[in-house]
Amino acid sequence: MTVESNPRVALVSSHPGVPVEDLARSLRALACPAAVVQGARDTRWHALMERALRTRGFAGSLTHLPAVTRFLLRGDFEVAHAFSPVDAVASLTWARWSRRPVVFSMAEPPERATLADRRLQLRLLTRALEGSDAIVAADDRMAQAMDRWLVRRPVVAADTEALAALYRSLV
Amino acid sequence: MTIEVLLEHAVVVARHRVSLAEALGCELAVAKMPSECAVHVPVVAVPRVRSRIGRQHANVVSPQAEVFDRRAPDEFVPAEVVWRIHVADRENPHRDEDKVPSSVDGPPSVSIVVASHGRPLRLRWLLNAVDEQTFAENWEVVVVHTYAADVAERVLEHHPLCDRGELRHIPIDSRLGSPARQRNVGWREARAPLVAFTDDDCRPEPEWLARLVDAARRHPGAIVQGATRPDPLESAVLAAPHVRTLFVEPVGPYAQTCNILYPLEVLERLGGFDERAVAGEDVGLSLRARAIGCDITPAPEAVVYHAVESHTLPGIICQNLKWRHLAYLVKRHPEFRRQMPLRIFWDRDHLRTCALLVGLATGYRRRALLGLTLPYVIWALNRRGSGRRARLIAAAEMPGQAVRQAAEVAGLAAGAVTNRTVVL
Repeated sequence: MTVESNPRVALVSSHPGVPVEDLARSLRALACPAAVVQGARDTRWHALMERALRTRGFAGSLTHLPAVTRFLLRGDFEVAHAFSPVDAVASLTWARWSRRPVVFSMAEPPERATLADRRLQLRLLTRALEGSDAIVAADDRMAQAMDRWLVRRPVVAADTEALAALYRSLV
Repeated sequence: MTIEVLLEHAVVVARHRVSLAEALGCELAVAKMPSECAVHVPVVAVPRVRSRIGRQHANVVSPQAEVFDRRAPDEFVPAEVVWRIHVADRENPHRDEDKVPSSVDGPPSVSIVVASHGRPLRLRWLLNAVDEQTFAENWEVVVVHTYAADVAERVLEHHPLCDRGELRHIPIDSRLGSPARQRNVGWREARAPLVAFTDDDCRPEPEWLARLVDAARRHPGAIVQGATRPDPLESAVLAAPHVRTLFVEPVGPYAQTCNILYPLEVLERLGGFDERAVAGEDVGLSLRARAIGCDITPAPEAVVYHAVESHTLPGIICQNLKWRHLAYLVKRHPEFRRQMPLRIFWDRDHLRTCALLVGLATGYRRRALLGLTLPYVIWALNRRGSGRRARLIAAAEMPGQAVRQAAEVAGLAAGAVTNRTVVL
C-alpha cells in the first residue's frame, strides 16, 4: 500500500466528543493521509452565538458550519468523512464545489429522543443521509440502530483498514 | 455478561428461531399446540446473548414476566415456539428495547389505519412506536401511502411488523392520494371490528392501543377519542415562531384522526370519509356520526404525541392555505356553525385577526376603531407566557404571526367565495 493509493481524507468533526484525532493517527499509520477539521475556534463570540441559537431551539454546532466549509474548500482533500449532520452538510457544500465524495458516520447510535429534538435537526439529518456517498457504522449495534431509526443500512467498518479501503473505493 | 436462558414455558412467538438456534447452539422445538409446549429443556448458559436478545431478537421476551418453575401455566396463547427467558442478577428483561409480541393466529381485535404522504422517516418512527404497543391481543396495521416502491420496501417491508405479518401496506398513486381517500382505502382493508386511526407524524404511547380498545369495549358502538399532545421529545422546537403541532383534549369539536377509534360498523354505515373534502374530512365524518346518534367517548389516558415542526413564514403560509377547503365542510355541515364564534369565524384566532385587520384598515380615520386591534395585541403578547422575556419575544414575533393569520383568514375567505358560503 503506497501513499499515492490512499486518498487525502478530511475527518470533519465539530462535535467535541468524537475521538477523530485517534482515528487520524491510525489512518496515518496505514499511510492514509488524514487531517482533522474541527470547525471554528472556541471564542467568546462563538459561545454567545451558540447559546443564542440553542435558546431559540436550534440544533447544536451550527456556528461551526461556515468555518468547516471554508476550511474544507481551502484544503486539498479527496474525501470528507463527517461525524455529525452539521459536519455532513458542510462537507456536502464542499462536495458540490469539488465533486468529491462524502462519508457520513454518527458519533452515537441514533435514538428517537434525539432525532428531531431541535430546530433544523431533522432537516440536517435527512440531507446528510440523502447526500452522502457512503454511510458508515462503527459496529453492528450502530448499524442496527441506523437501520431501525434512519432506514439506512450502513457499511460496517469496524477498523481503520476497512475505512481506508472504503475511502479508496470511493475515489 | 452471561445470562441463563431457560427454554421452558412462555407465550411468545419466536420469528427468528433459526438465528436464535445458532446463537444458542441448540435445536429448538416448534410446538403447535399448547400441550406440546410443556417440554423440559435444561438451563443453558449463553455468553453475551443478552444484547442479541435485547436488540436483534427482542420479540422473544415474554409479555408476562412471571416464572413458571417448571409448571405448566394456566393458560397459553397459541404460539409456534415457546420461550422463557430468565435474566440473571435481577435484571429486568423488559427494558426499553424489549417489545411485546402479539402476532398470534386468528382475526385481529383492532386495526390501526395510517395514511402517509411525504414523511417516510416519521412513518418509520410511528411504526417503531406501534411495534412497542403493550396491547396483548392480536392487531394489525394498515398503511396506505404514496411512496415509490424502493422507499416502501426500505421503510415498510423491512420493518419487523411486516416480518411478523402484522403490517400491510397499500401504495396508491400520489396524484390520487388525499387523506380522506387513503383512510377510506385503509379501513376498507381492515379485518378487525375496531379501527384506530393515527397519523404518520405521531408517536403513540406504548399503552395507547390497549387503553383505546379498553374504552371502546366499555362503550360498545361509540367512537373513542384519545388525547393528543405536542411531543415532549421535540419540545425545544416550540421556541420557533411558526410551529405546527396539535393539542387535543378529548372530546374536541374536530375529532382529529391522529388519535381516534371508530367501530367498523359505524364506518360502513356512514360510507367512510367524504373524499370531496380536501381538509376537515375527519370533522365531517364525526358530524355525520353524531347525526346518526353515535356518541364520542373520551379516552384521555390513550395518549398520542404529535410532531412539533418549525416552518419559515412563507412555508407555514403555504401549508395553511389548505385550510381554505374548510369552507366546503361548513357549507356541507351547517350544524357545525353552532361551534363557531358568531357562526361565521372558524375559531377565536380568526375572529381576533379579522378585528385586527378592520382596526388597522379604519383606525387612521377614527381612532376609536384602533381599539379593535387590542384583543389580538393582548393575545399575541401573552402567547409565550407572562414573563418579561416571554413578552419581548412574543412582541418581536407579533408581525409575523399577524401576517400568517391574515393569510389564513384570506385563504378561508377565498374558499368561502368558491363554495358560495360565508366563513372567515
